[in-house]
Parts: sequence; structure tokens; C-alpha cells
Amino acid sequence: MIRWAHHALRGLRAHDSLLGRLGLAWLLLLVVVALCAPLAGYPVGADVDLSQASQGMSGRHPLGTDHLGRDTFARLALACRAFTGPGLLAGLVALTAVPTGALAGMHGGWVAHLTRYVAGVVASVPRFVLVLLLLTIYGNTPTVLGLAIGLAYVPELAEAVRARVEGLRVADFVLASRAHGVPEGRLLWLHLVLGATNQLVARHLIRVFAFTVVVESTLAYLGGFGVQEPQPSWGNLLVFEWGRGLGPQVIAPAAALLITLAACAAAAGFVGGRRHAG
Amino acid sequence: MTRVVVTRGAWAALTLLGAVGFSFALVVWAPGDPIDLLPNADAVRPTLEARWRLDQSPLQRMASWWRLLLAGDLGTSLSYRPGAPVWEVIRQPVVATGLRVLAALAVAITTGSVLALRTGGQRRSRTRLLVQLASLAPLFLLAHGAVAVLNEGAFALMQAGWMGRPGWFALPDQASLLRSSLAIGLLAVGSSSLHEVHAEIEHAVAHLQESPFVDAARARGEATWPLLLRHLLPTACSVAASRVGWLLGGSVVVEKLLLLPGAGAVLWNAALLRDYEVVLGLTLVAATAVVVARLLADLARVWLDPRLRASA
Amino acid sequence: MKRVLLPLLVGALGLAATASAGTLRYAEDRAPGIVHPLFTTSMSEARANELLFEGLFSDDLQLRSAPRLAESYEVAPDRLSMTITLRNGVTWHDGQPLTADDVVFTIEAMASPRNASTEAGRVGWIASAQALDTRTVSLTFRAAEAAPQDKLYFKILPAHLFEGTKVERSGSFRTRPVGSGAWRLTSFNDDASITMSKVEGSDAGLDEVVLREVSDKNYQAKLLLYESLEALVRVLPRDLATLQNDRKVELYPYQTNSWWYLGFHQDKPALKKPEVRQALTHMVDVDQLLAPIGTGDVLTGPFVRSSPFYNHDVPRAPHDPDKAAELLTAAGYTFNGRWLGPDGKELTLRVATVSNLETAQDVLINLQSQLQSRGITVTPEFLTPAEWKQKVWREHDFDIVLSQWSFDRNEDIYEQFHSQGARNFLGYRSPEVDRLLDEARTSSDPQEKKALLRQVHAAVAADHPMIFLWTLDSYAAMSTKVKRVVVHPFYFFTWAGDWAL
Repeated sequence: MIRWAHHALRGLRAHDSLLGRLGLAWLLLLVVVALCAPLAGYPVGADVDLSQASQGMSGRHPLGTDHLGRDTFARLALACRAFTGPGLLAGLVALTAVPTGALAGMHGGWVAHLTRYVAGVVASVPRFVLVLLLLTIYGNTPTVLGLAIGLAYVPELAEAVRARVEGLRVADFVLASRAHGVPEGRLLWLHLVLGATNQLVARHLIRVFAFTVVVESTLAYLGGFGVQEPQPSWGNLLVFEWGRGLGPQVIAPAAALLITLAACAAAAGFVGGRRHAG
Repeated sequence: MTRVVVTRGAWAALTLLGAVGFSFALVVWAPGDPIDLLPNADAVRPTLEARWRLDQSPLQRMASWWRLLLAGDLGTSLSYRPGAPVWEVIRQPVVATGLRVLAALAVAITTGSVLALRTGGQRRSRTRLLVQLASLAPLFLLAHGAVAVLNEGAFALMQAGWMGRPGWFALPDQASLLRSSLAIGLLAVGSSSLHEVHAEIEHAVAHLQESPFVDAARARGEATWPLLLRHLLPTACSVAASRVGWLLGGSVVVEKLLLLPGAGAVLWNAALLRDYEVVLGLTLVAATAVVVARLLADLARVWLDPRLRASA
Repeated sequence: MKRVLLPLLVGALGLAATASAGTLRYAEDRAPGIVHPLFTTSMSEARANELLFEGLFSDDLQLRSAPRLAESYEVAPDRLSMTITLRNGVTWHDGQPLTADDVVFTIEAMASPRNASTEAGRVGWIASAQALDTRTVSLTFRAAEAAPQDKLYFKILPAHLFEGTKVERSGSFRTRPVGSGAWRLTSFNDDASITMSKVEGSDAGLDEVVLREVSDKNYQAKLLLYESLEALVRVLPRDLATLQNDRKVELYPYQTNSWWYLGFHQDKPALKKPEVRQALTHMVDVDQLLAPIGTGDVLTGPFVRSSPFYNHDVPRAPHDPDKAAELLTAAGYTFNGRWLGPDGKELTLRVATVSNLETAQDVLINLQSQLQSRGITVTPEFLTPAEWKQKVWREHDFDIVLSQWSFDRNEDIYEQFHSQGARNFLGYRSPEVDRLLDEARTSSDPQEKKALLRQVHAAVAADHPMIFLWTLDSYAAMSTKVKRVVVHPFYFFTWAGDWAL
């Protein structure tokens, strides 16, 4: 089991590059910060200090303060929670596409047609529009956001997995294993799904995460949706100080966004180079 | 070929019907209702509920929606433009956004192809990296930055007396070539559109470079790029189809930022006002666009590629 | 194709789409959904209606009612009816003369339940309307009215464009509204802007008024500075400094009859006890809440400071955290780092506000910080207008609301504070206040009414159903090119006929 897992994980790496490693490291850092930052005890919701309003960078406030005196650096770190939560939820939802796609690919026939149909239906509504639709209908909470984004990516992932598994269904080693009497279930899960699709899935998950980051900040800009104050999010931080000049309060969240998206792109490249199964 | 058209067309039509049903279902089972927004909601509720059939069960409402749709009626706007037929509300914005999306698509594919061909299909080119960096920023950040820079710069020049007032000033305020070009450019580049288009085409080019007929052409001493171009067309079609969805989504942001009167802006405002009729109408149009684009791309691929045509 | 070629041509020829000399362009957050006085739901619609339509009476420069479409009027000695004589020679934008039939039609159409007009409540007090001849209207009231002309500001519509009294949103009036104002609507443009042109023969100083939808508030002040607009209806506090320093822009302060408040839900267990409400009043530092968002007058009661009904003898509740702690302890709460209720649970309050209320976000975050640092947990809720209507108005699902009330010239607070009031979602019930409000409503003596309402002010202040916050100084910004500007505090364009460009 462990040997197989180790093998699968090693297979993730397609292009060994410095940028790729840095990207993955940054993403891991974000997850760590998201978990640990709340432990520092920054008093979210009790941090207004008008005497410190709109300060520049200083020892006490490394990235300055906003116009209500709240520390930018602390809120920037705490903001990681805003999208790691929905991002992980979206990833989990998207992962349900993997067994679905794999089953469809394995069995073919009407299962494959049905999967293709449902995926086609969900995919015909543009992703951002679908997310907006679901947020307006079911309310604006991080859970709905995560579910909506996950749902928006299910068709793509299911189709990709199905295509890959279908391609391998008649591959030699599968036929050979069948001839040797290996039961189909174990064959499916161990070799096909996890072994052949791990790169694919990892790449898609990173894309889901990047989409979550972009959607969260875009919703904060558009107003009315996304993480609500006083919970910090990078979009929130940007919009709160929008129009009050170009200080560190605005540049820091913008830079954080850009770096994270670049990290996602680099990590995706690191994980797998090819878009289609062939 | 006709058989392909018919079968794929039928599949597309079925998908569209599914998408319509899916959207209807999402909206009909939504909590809350639009009458809540009116100032004297309680006084007018009985009258409006009867007129807008909100007192019927969700299934009955869906059935009546289907009936209206098949008769060509998309309903009447409830709170965004009260009293106006949905078709009248969305007709012009849809055309405006559609043209913009098509233009952005053309720009993205042309630029992507040119760049890909120039690098000759090397897997990790520097151009690819640059394009990737340019597409990384979220649309609203790019757009806001572009507008601010252009406006402030022009204003500073005007104050200093070096320039008269340009026709496009102040940028988002009035229709101008610059505003339209900026919108198209942002759509083409933003949210990884250009990057993904470029990556797809580059991948296709790499494949093609290794194919036998290109080798043969090279051996004969002919230029390879006309051949590459012709064989890129199918890829371009499928790439276009897959980007349509992204571009429609990006339009919401671009139109709000550049104050453009398009389907995205209408969708956003109608959603805020819980005007389900308009939102549904626009979702249907978007789904139709995506399905039709996919179908056309599919058919184009089959038609262009003699191998696929033969096996169909 | 046209949409691409035309901008191309325009750009190529270097033609600028600038405004002609007499055009006033102003910005709205959202363009009117419908320009129709019977179905108005937003302030942007009300302002557009002010330009295109007229009422029987409107405010004069001293904010007293003066005849507008009416020429003269006479109220019967028993105050149960009145006769109005209309001005001579008034015509609609389509040339037809304005007659008494139009007035009768408007009143009946507004009242008709079939039309589901949003303005139906404005004519509920009129029992019947009759056209005595082409220029004379007789109105009878359901009860004696002290100043009926104050309630006759609603816009008059042309009867000849409708069948009977049936008025529908989807009718042709929607695309071609016809009024009697100094400007008529010439076009609904593609970019959601609306062009209104001066009617021939009118002596208004603005040839054209253009309403532009600028949904991004970040652009509104900028566009004024860049001279792409001539007027801003409300300036955001953060833009005040920039606009003040610009020589081409003039700021016009105006005092609206609107005030902010923190309303308590009277039936929630924590807030039922008057000691708790009083404690919160002493705990909140109102001046500090106001400071980041602008300047204004802090209030002690439900009227604006300049109102005749304001009771200046009512003292301000001082910001006194120690007194607050005493009161909370007296109410049965204990403090150990955080305030705990008699049941041992932390005192948690849910404060709701409308998310698109300007600067409400700053106030709520600030408020939360103030209370949380003193041991009370606050959960802020930013609701969309639809959620607000549902949760606050219908379900009463909140502890505290942060909001504002806006009143027209009558400052009638009955609906908000009477136990039968339609807007009393806080659940405030006081038999004494009910009695005072009933008397004030039926009183025809202005002095008596003043005295009664001042008593209401005192009574309400003592009951603490809400923490009265402030009236915020509002400013309109106009280009200095616009002359003779006087801005109406509520409708903005009431005296736009005098403005000149």
C-alpha cells in the first residue's frame, strides 16, 4: 500500500523546475498560514483603532493600517482562510468526478453516454455565471461558494478522467492482468484511477484552487458577495482601501493575489505538462 | 457528413434542453421572491402573485415557463425593468457582448497562433512564460489598473497643457474605440484566456511538428507553416468553443469596470434585484451560445480532418 | 457589426462625444428601472420624475408648500374637503392641455388596487375626487386635514393616454412617458443613460439633462473632476477632501430629514430589559462611530435638530462605560472577561444592516470593535436589500439593526413608533407614545402638534427603543459652470428650472 502510494506520488512530478517547486512551496505556505494564523490571537472584530488610522509601514504595522486602524499584515495572513476553506471544499466536490468518470470510462456504453450528457449540461452554463447564480439563489456563504465552484469543475474533471480511463481500458497491461485473474475492482482503483490519473487530478485541483482565489477576489470587488467584513479576505482588503491612494494597504493584497496565481500556474506546470489525454 | 451533422446536432439540442431544465430548476426552487423588494410589498402581494403566478407550485411554474419558452416568450422583467419584456431588455446587450466576445476570441486565437508558430512548438518557451504572466492577474485588477493609468496620465498631460481633451476621455464614461479595444483586449488576455489558448495551440503545433507529413514537407524543402496553419484549424475551433464560457463569465467583470452596457452588466444588476426572469433569460442565451459553439467546433473539426470524416 | 464600425469611425475621425453647452450630466448608482410615477421604487426614479412630471403642490425655497400645477386652492371650514383651481395653459409634452380630469384620473389610478401602484398609500386619505370643470377639482377627505396641500406633491399623469383607470407597468407609457415638467424624455439610450430635453417654450436654463448610470462609486467623483459630469447627487465622505480642493467644483451642503439609528428588537430576551438597552446606550461611543465617516449632528430623539419637533431639553446619554457595567450587573449579567447572561451564556448580539448603505460597513465594523473590546460579542450581518426585507421586515430575525429613516417635509414618525405602525418592525409599544401620536395626527393646531411631538421625543428617549445616532451632513457636488443652484434636500431637482448653464 505504502509502496504504491509512494510510487503514485512520485509520478506526479512531470517537469522538475525551480519555479514549480517554489510554486508548490508557496501554496503549502498558504495552507499552513491559514491553519496557524488564527492561533496568534489577533482580535478580529475588535481591532478598530482610529488613533492608528491609515498609517504607513512601520515597525508596529509592517504593512500599514487601513482607514479604521486595522493592521494590514495580520489581516493579510488571516485572509488565507477565506479561500483555503472554499478551495478545499471545492476540491472535495470536484473529486467526486473522479470515480464517476472512471466508472464511465471502465464500463462505457450507456454509463459513459449519461456521464457525458450530464457533464455537457452542467458545462454549458459558464462557470462564473453558474457560481453567481448559485450564490444569489442559495445565499452568500463560503459553503455555497465552495460547492458552486466544485460543481462548476466537475464536468471537466469527469470528462478528462473518463477519456483517460477509456484510453487505457484496452491497454495491454489491463488485458494481461485480466487474463491473470486479477479482480476488476482492484484493477480499476489501484492501477487505472490512481496510477494513471493522479497527474490529471492534481492539475485540476490546482486549477480549482486558482479559480477559487480569483472568484473570491472578484466577488469582493463586484460587491455584495464573497467573504463579508469583518472577516478579512484579499479581495475585501483591496476593496476597503480602493480609492484612497496607492499605499501598502492596497499593494500588499494585490501582490499576494498575483503571487498566488503565479504559484498555481507554476505548480500546475510542475505537476503535469499535457492538457489532453492524447 | 450529413449523418454527423444530424447526430451531433441532436446531441447538442438535447444538451441545450437539459441546460434549460437545469437552470429553470435552480431558479424555481430558489428561496425568497422578488416581491419582497418593492416598498409596499405586502399591499401589492396578492395582485402580483396572481399575475406572476408565484402562488403556483414549482412544477407548475416550470411547466408554464416551458410553455412560454416554446411559444417564443421569455417572460417579463419583474424588478430590473418592470413591465418590459425580457427579450427587449436583453436583446441589445446580448448583441453587444456577443460581438465583444467574438472579437476577443479572434484576438486570442490569432495572437496565440502567431506566438506558438514563432516558438516552433518548444515545450517550455520563454514566450509562454511571458504570456502566462500577462494573463495571471484577475480581470478586475488588470482593468482597474489600465483605466486608472490611462485616465490619470491623460489628465496630468491635459493639466500641464501638453494635450487637448482626447475623444475617449474620461475612459469608461463614453463609447470610444479605446474603450471597446480595451474591453476586447482585457477579455482576450485576462483570467488566463490568452495563456490557455496559447498553450493549447503550442501543444498542437508540437504534435504537428512531429507528424510524418510535416517531416515529408520539410524533406522536400517546402515551408512548413502553411501546412501547420491548415492543420491547426480544427484545434483552433475546439479551443474557441472551450473559451466561450470563460469569456462570457469575464464579461460580467469587464462590463462593470468599463461601464459597458452589455449582457454581463444586466445579469449582475438583475441578480441583485432578484429579477429571475431576466437572469434566466440571460443564462439560457449563454448556455445556447456555449452549446452552439461546441457543436460548430465539433462539426468543423470533422469536416476539416479527412480522417475523422472518413470514419464518421 | 455596426457596434464595431461606428466606434471605429468615430475614433478615426477624432470626433468627441462631448456634451453641448447647455447639457447637465449627472450620475446615478443605478439607472431607473421604470420612469413612471405610479411605480417608483428608488430615489433615482424619484429624481428623474422630478424633472419630467409635476404635482399640484411642491416646496418653495423656504421648504413650505406652494402651488405648482395648482393656481389657487380653498380648504372648507370643516377641513373635510378642498377645491383646487389649476393653472391656465399647462400642456402635456404631447401638446394636449392639462385638465382637472387628469388630476381625478391620477388619484383614482393610484388608489386602484388593480394597478398595484407603489404610491397607493399616498392617496389613502382622499375619499373622493371630482372634476367640477376643466380647471377645478374638488377633493373630499376621510378625516379632517390640517394641511392637505402638504400631501398633494404626487405627480399628475395624463388621463388621455390610458384606458379608464387601468395603468400597467408594461403599457406604452413605459417607453414614452409624457409629463408636464420643464423637460421631456427624448430617449432611453443604449448605455442605460436617459436624455431629457427642454420643452419648447419653457424658460428653464438647462437645454438638456442627461442621467448617466455610473454603477462604480469609485468613478463618480473622478468623472466630475475630469469634467465628464456636471453634477453628483451625493458625495461620498472620502471624496469630500478632493472635491473641496478642486476649483472647478462647488459643494452644496444639504440637510436631509434623515437620521441613523441602532434599533433594538424589543422582544428579544436580552433586549427586553430596559437596563440592558440603557447600558448599551452608555457603552457605545457615538462620536467615535461618526468620526471616520463624516460630520453631522448627534441626536437624542427621532427628529432632525433643525426640526420644530426636536426637544432640545432632552439630554444626551453620555458615553460612560462604568455606568454601563453597573446597569448590566443590575440586569443580572456577570463579567469575567466577557459579559455572561443570567443563564451563563455569553451575551451575543446580531447586528444587521443593508450592505449597499454607504458607510454602514465602516460604522458596523467600528461598532463591533467597540462592543467586543468591552466584552459583548457582536455578529455583524450585511444583508442585501431583498434579505433585509425578508429578515428584518417580515421575519424580525435580528437583535439590533443599523439603518436610517428618511422623512419628507412632514416628518411623520407614526409608522415607525406607533404600536400599529406599518414600519415598526422593532416592536416598540408604548401606550403613552401611541396616545401622543394619535393626538398629533388629528391636531390641526401647529403649536399643539409641536408640543405633542416634543413630548414624544422625550418619551421615546426615556424608553431607549433605539440608540439615536446622527444626521449626516450631505453634500451635492456641481461643476462651477452651473449657476443659480439650489438643491432640494429630498428630490434634488425641484428648483432645477432656475439653474443655468
